[in-house]
Amino acid sequence: MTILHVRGLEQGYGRSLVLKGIDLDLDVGLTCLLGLNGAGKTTLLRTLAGDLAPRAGSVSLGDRAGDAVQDRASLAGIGYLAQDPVLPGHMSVRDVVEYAAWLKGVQDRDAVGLALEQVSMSSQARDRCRTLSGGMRRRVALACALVGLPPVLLLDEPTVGLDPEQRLQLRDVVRTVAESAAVVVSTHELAEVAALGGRVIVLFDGAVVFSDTVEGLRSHGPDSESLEAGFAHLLRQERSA
Amino acid sequence: MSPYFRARQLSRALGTVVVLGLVTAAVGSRRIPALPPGFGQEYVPVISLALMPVIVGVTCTTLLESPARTLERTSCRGLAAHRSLYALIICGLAIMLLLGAATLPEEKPYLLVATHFAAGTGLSLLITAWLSDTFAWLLVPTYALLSLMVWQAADAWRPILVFGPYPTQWSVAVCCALGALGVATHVTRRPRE
Amino acid sequence: MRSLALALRASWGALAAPAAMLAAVAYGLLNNGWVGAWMETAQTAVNAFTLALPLIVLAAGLDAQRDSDVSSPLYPGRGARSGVVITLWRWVGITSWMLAAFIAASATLLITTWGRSDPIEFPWLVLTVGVGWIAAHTALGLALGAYLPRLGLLIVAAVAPFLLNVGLAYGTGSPSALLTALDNGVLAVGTRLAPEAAARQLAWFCALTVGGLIVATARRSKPWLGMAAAGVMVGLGLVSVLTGPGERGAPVAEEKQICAEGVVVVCVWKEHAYYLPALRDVTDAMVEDLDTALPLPDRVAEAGLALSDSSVSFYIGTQNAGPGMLAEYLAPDLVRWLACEGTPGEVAVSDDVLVRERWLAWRAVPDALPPQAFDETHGIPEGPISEQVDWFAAGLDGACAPL
Repeated sequence: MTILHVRGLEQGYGRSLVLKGIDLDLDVGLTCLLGLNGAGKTTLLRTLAGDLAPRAGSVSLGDRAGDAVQDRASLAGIGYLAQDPVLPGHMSVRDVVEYAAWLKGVQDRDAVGLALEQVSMSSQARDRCRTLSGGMRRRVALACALVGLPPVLLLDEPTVGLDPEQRLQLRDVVRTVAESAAVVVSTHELAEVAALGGRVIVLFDGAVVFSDTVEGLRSHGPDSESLEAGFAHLLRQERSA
Repeated sequence: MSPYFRARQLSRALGTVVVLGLVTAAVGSRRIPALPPGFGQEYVPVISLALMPVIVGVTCTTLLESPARTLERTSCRGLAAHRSLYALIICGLAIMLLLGAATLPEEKPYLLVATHFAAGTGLSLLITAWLSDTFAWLLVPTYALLSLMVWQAADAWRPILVFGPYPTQWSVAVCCALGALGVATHVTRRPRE
Repeated sequence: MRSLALALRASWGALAAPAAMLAAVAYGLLNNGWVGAWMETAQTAVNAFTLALPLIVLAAGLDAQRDSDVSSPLYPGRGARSGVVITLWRWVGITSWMLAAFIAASATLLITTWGRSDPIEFPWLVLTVGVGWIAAHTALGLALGAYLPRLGLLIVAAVAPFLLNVGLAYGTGSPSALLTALDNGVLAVGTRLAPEAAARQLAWFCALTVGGLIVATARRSKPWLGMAAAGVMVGLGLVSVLTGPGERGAPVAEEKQICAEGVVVVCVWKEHAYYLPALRDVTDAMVEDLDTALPLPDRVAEAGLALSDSSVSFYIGTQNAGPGMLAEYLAPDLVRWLACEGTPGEVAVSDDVLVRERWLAWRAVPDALPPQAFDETHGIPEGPISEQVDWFAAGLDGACAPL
């Protein structure tokens, strides 16, 4: 079932155009957004999350009429983890997640506890954010995105700064959420893509140049050896084009 | 209490405004004739009448800044009402304190203090809509310069340098308009990136 | 050199220094106008830079707060350099920027004096004291930035330098006024900064600088020990300033005057030579015809120059004075001399005397408001000049109270 429809999306900063007419349909399940540095991954996620107003095109959520990112009520259905999440250092972990829930209009009183549990931060719920390590802060930010179980979850480089155990836990969380929501994970690490599986979308120079499964990307290479070879071959093709 | 206010450390913000109000009162209570002509005449009135209200205004702007920008930018909840109420609390308290401080010395017209507060708050809110609060604080020396320049400027220049220490109908109107524009921008715009 | 270049590039001074320079130049030139003599101009440059002190403290504080977050890749706690080196590196960066701004602002103001006024001596000491004061403020900014939260730094940087400088400068002649480089009187022409006062000021600024740097450095290791050491430094500095005399100005070693012949001889300090033609005209217009009723002085001389018994001494203010202002400066002293006929004495301030001062100024500068316009009760005759002179002399009769 398609949850998020993106049509002709254009986005940029100043005179430079970063996204050049993106068309996407996001279904329930896991989607990895892959691309080199500067390909437009973060810009795409921020635009889908309502953080940036699109220059052109539309984003619509489920059956709702209208543009999701311009219709504030639709943003309740989108959870977003920023690449460099900044949390108010003076607030406790629980207060921050409660604030995120309030901002998203989440009514369920148990939602905050559930989100903290999902990221294994229940025991630190009373700690102030300024006392947390970088990895813990990222998990709190993830709880803010997860709270209320939105039908669309956008995660920008979620595993950066996490230790190996936390990465494994996060992958489990993402897979579980992806059973009932459209989850987009942005990354430039092929190992992460291989571990997560699901659908892969490759962004190159602000345009979608590949949309298929992990296996599809692997077999894109000349000898179907590895994901790296498939990705490198795809980039060569795009550059020569 | 609404989570919006919990995120903003209301008691700390109010405490900051109260302390600044007391400093303003302490500065303003120095009798100007007791100071030697040069700096007594130039600096003290400018500091107590113009600069302190502007400093309080910029401080209020810093206190109004969003503590969790990404969360609030991607919020589905309209925050204009909360922003208005919070701005009213912080700025209202500041205006009351500044007017209280202005009653201490003999030479001070109350209107002047509120006028400079409106200009300082409005300008700094407009700056922080696009730039970081550090740039808003650059307003303080700039304002000091303009105030000191206009202190001895020719009459013809005073209506143009609306931030000067002399209140005129024109300067009051412009400063209040700046204040209103700044608050309106703060209330209606999402926090900057 | 590479370290210095890095310190300069990394500092907030890159933004603050141009703003500080523009503020000082704008205030120095537009507000006070051209002040006209080297010592006065140098002191005005230092005073004008007082406007920039909040900016200096803020920039230094932000430099201290840069990379203070443990998550910063440049967090100094992980670096190979010691805290002392990092603090000094930051101080050199911000101080270099601000000294460049101060030198540029002072040079701009002094260049406006060049060509119109020959210096009696170049005001090195005044400028050196200004440099010391800026260096002390950058160190204080680093110390504040190391301890205060962001909002606290912004507020303190905005408020404290203004309050401290204005508060300290208040009360010329008291030792506490030497605690700041700001001069509320501005050193007059013919005076210079007393070397002994300058040395005590510089010792105090050095103590503040070292104290500030110690406090900033001790932030991550032993803050209380650092504060105690800084307290000792600042205490010593305070003692060095407060235990001596408070006089800042001293007469220049050599008296250099320039005179012009008119009805009477008019003399000014060499640095004020550009006032001489206008001053001679003003003086001539004032004393012309008075000799029919009153004895005239031999000489009109600017304050600070050696005087004979028959000389009138008067003070030219620090503003760039035109004929009207010169007449206003001269008239009270000339009236006092005429009333007392050259003997030491004071003239009581009365409406009779004030209207005669204005009459004198009006004679010299006819564009000024005539005394009749503001006072019709003193019966100023509108007839021949001899009647007016008699009226003038009659009003001064008995006005002098011998000392």
